[in-house]
Amino acid sequence: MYGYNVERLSLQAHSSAQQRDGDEYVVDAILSYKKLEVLIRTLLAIEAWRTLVLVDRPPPADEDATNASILDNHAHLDGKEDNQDSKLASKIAENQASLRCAFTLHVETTICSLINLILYRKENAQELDSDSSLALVDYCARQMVSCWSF
Amino acid sequence: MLQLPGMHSFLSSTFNFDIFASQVLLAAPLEHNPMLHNQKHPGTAQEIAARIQGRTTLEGIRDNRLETEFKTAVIATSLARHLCEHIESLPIGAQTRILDTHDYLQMMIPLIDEPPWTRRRRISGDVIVWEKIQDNHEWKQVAPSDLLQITQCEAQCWIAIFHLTCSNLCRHQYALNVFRKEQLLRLRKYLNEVMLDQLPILTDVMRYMDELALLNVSETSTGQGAALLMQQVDRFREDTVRSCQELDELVERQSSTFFSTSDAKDEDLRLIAGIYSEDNLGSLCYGIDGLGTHPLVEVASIGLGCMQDGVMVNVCNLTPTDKEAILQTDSGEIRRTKLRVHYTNPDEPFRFGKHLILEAALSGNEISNFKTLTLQSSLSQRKDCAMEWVQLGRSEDGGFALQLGFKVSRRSVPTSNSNQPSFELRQAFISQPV
Repeated sequence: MYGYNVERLSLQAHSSAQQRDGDEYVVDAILSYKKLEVLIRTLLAIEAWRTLVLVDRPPPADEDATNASILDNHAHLDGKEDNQDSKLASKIAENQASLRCAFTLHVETTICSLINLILYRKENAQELDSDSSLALVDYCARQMVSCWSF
Repeated sequence: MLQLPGMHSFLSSTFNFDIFASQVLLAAPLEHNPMLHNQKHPGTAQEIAARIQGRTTLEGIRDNRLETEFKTAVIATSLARHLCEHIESLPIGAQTRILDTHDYLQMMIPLIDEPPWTRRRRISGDVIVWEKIQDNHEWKQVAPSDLLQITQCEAQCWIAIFHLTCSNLCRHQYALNVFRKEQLLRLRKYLNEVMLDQLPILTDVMRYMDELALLNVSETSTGQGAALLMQQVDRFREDTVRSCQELDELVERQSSTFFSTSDAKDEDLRLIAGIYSEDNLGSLCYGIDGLGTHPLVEVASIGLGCMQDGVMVNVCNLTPTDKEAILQTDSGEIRRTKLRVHYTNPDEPFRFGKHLILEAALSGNEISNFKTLTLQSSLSQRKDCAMEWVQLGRSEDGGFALQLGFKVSRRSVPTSNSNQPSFELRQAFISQPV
């Protein structure tokens, strides 16, 4: 499974980084095989999956459907505010696969911290091409906004 | 907007609208932001326990999702700091995004004003403690006297602000207006001596703010984005979001394939759990093969090679006997097994020279690839003909140790350099920690 390898990579990268003079071969390999873009794409994919599929928040494209489903939701769930779990979530609960779901979410955290580590060095930041850097900047913006509380 | 394939540039106004629409969605007040609410008000230990026991699987999934979302968001903040730090080496599209479209500088302000990584928690009854997220991303209690001590998360924001206000590029490009200036000056009150002691770079930020306070800025400057009509679109996200348009179908497909196995039978999960088990962690951290650590690995045979005239010659095979002993050492218990020597050429046992370059290859059912131990050493010719021992590998750090006992050969040696003593292998032991 993809997540398994990413987890191991991240662990190794972090442990190399902690040894001050250790060579960061994981980071180097990711950069020399141009896999940073793959990581960023995966990051966005999981984020999209989390916000669009796992949580019942239909895309803004079809407004009628949105309204209908919000009404639906409220009817079903007594209008409770944070009950946004989608059909997928309840299916997962039915299949008893909640740990699997948890791990899928955890991959996002892992990738995020791995990219964090890679971008620690200026040379590595130069490797970002315009598409992936845009994606990252936007991603961080979305994440930070979610930290706000008024 | 998502349904316009092929277009990678839009008028910035259109785009901005979309961005802010999504921000409003996420930046809901605390009561409407369950992710933050769960973190800020976890309740007492009893309440948490009751909640965990009483919740359904579905609620469990939701709690877990919110928890992970929060962790990711915290890490993303430090990712944002790195992006700000290296802003000069980023492509121009990304620079504009940081400085203008998203305005990272303004985004950092609420994070400092109302930090998501600090909370007050009622532990029981009337006792309320302050807690902060520490470096390992866990909440930890902080004594009121230490509240000013800055944590990693807080520092990330400040460092980002330092780079955004003090680098040449940002000073040049960032368009100040009255609103932005006022917001920024709100942070001035946090720059006290304690803070400056901990993050000396903030002295520059403080000077910048003092200058800014005196500066007259225009009412409604909106930066270069206004002059630059075209703006790049985040193509990755566009691709991703467009590809998950048929949500219902996707839900059906995923629940019948990817999420169909239950956790109890999930092989992948077992694999993942294995990452953090001791063996693998050891191999990741020390670069060894993960062999020889617990549980005991049975060695079936050991091939011993010796360098002779520049060639590695296979000398003998060593197989374990049933003579075992548990020894107490400083680094714990060690199991030592006596080995039987089978020479490759039984009629004429191999004679070792004074200088040894040895290589031992361990094999066994549980040893997937050969584990080799090497040694370069010299034997001295002792007068008393006592056994001389050498050791390959170390058992202290969880690996195998092969101990070999040599004795000066009593038989005559028909070789050219007969002045040199030769040695025979008399005894061998293998030890590993229990």
